[in-house]
Amino acid sequence: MKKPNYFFLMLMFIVSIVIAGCSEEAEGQDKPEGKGKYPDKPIEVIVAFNAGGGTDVAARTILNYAEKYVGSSFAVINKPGAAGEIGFTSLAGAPDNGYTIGMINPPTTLLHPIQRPNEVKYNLDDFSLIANIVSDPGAFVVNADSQINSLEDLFEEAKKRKLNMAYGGPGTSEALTLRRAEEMKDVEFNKIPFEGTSPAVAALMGGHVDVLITNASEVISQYEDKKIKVLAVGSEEKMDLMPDVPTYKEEGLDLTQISMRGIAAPKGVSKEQVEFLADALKKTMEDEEFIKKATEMALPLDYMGPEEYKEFLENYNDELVEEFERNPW
Amino acid sequence: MEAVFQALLNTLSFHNIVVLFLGTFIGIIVGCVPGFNASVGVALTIPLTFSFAPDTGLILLVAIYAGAVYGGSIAAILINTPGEPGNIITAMDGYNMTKKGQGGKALGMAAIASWIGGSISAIFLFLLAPPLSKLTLLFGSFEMFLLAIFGLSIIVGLSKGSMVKGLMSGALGVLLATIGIDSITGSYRYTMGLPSLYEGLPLVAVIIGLYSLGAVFELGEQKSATIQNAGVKVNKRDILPNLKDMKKTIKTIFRSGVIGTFAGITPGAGMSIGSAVSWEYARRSSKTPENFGKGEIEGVAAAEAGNNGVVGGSLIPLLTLGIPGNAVSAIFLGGLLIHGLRPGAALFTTHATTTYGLIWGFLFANFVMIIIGLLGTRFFSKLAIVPVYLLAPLIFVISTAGTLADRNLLADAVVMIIFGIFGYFLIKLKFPLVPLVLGFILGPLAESELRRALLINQGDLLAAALHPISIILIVLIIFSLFGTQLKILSKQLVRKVKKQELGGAENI
Repeated sequence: MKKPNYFFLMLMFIVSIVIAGCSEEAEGQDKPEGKGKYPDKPIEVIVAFNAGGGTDVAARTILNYAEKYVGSSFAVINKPGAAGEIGFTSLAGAPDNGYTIGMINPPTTLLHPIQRPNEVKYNLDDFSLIANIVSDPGAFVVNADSQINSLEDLFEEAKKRKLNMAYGGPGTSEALTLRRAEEMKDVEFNKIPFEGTSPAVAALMGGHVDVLITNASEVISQYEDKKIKVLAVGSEEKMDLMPDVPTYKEEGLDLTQISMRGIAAPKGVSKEQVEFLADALKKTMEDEEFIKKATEMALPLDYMGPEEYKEFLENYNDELVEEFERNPW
Repeated sequence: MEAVFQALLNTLSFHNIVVLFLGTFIGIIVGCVPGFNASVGVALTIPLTFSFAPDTGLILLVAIYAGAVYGGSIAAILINTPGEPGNIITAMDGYNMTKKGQGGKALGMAAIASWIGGSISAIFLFLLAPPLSKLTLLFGSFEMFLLAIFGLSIIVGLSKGSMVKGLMSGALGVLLATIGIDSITGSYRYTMGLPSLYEGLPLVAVIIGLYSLGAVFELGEQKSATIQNAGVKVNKRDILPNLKDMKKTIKTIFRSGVIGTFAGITPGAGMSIGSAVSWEYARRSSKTPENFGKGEIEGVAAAEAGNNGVVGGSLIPLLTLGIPGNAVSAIFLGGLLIHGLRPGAALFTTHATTTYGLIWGFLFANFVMIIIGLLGTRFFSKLAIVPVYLLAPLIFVISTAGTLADRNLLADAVVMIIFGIFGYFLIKLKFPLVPLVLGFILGPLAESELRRALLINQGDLLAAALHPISIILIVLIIFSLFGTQLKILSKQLVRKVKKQELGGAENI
């Protein structure tokens, strides 16, 4: 009976190495920050969505160009799960030495703590906001051969029959927009939740649903191929990437719907560090090479500095809280 | 047309060929390691391609994708630890072959089948991408639901030994998959307030737990000092598949490649359906169906050709419509975007050189794959004679690392260990694991698509059931469930009719 002993000895040996490895890493995180120039080591960036996803690709692209202005490299760490909640929570609780920052996705980031205040372990106050990078307006989209040609058509048609409306599911920013639009226009859609934009776009193009509400940047390729029609976008002004598409407001729907991607640090990071990073990101977003790349990738850029971003999100948050108290969804 | 040749020349340039070899090699290694799969490989490489020219970057990504899907079969065959859901089917026959000392043969067959399956899908991608992409759009929610049910119906064929245990295992898989946020209503099901469970039990952790950790426990208690059964002498002729094996499997390989391609085109189906359907079809048309699942080389061939066919198939709707066919091609989309390539018509006009470069790259990656695969088989298959006291702890550590690499969550490792222990008892009680994994993958697909179909059709599914694709799928499901019985029944009927005719004749 010698072999089983070998087996367990080896197992124990390796397990102990693994455990030792883990503990060392934990110590590494507590290392006091260097007194010298910031940053003197790579900055970790928590992305709350999968590697290769929209937020991840946007983050890696801007960070790639930002390294030049920051003078240090970035290490992206993907912590996906629970629609970003896991990543946002871990960003809020990260050490505040300026070497851990992360991507936030308002309004999704804001909606989690509003909807489930007892379970979600962070809120907007737990972040030091650095900068907004992308503002992706919402959009109402129909198939290219649809009879519906404008938002007005859409609401008129909705009064005649129940239109199948594809959206991202309950609790998303699209759900919120739909609910408000239904109230304002006194219509009711047959709302069909989809997991992710791709299957919803496929269903729209295949004629399985009548209309889709999503983010404009996610349907750019199909829009350029004229496979779909974008009825209106949710930004304040027309989008550069879709210059002939009117806004919700121009079409008589008094709403805005914007998905943002920005960068934040955990609360407690020094003001100098926040300003340094915001400044570097601002320079990056004025970098011609980066702008060219972003246009190719259809990223609707929209820089906001720390103060502006904070004010914007606080107002946005108040609005959402009010809406939720008035009529929880 | 010019673009096609221009792309060919580009692809054959020195640096692109180097990248092709490198990518395929990295892919195979990534695929081999439990927990690291094509998704992880492609996702981690995307940032590296920033500084590359678009064609070189995409060739690297597609080579990694193709290589990783093949690489997954190596660990599945040798140590019964499939890296991808698609490889669970390969593991059934492959691992049993390894035990019998035919690991090399299984590996060689996997390489050949992967090569042909992948190449078939590349040819479809090359010639028929735009018309085939229309097929993707024909699949509405009800069709997707039927497809998932069709996939689940294969459990019947997969339940070797006891049908009841197979069905129980499948049902358990479906049940486990109900954990997580319900995608239709947004309510929380069995999450126990743990954020790590909001998106359900992580698939990677569940598969690694059931298979890899299960393998560790099994190896730990087995009497034989190596994976290969004690006393088995490897026949020199068994190191690689011979002509006789090829003759036997070639039809299956071609058919499975086509099945895989179509599974790839179909949204949401992916590798598990591609390989499972291919395997089941091969079993049904075989003269010795009872050998399937016990170390049948044709089973390995079918599963691997089906698996790799999915790769090219999944790129078809991605490139033409911007709709990824499976999880890996969804990540691949990120790789396209980073190089300013937006899927759609422009890919085949403005960016045709780059796009065809990608397709050539995929075709060549399959060649490189078989070169590396066949050359490596001799080395890889030595794993079967590594002492288990070295092998088992190693598998344990790599599996844990692989699980953590998926989402960087410690909770996933806990899930893996729980499923490892659970899987061990399932194996001991002779419950087949494949139905559980299939149920786990396809159950939620069936559920959410059915509910979506009900919403879209406002409760009345009859119209949806009369769509041509629905009818085809319903017929397939009936055959899959009752095919054997129908065969017997029709034989009896024919006999009865003949008898009556004869009887009638006698009466006159």
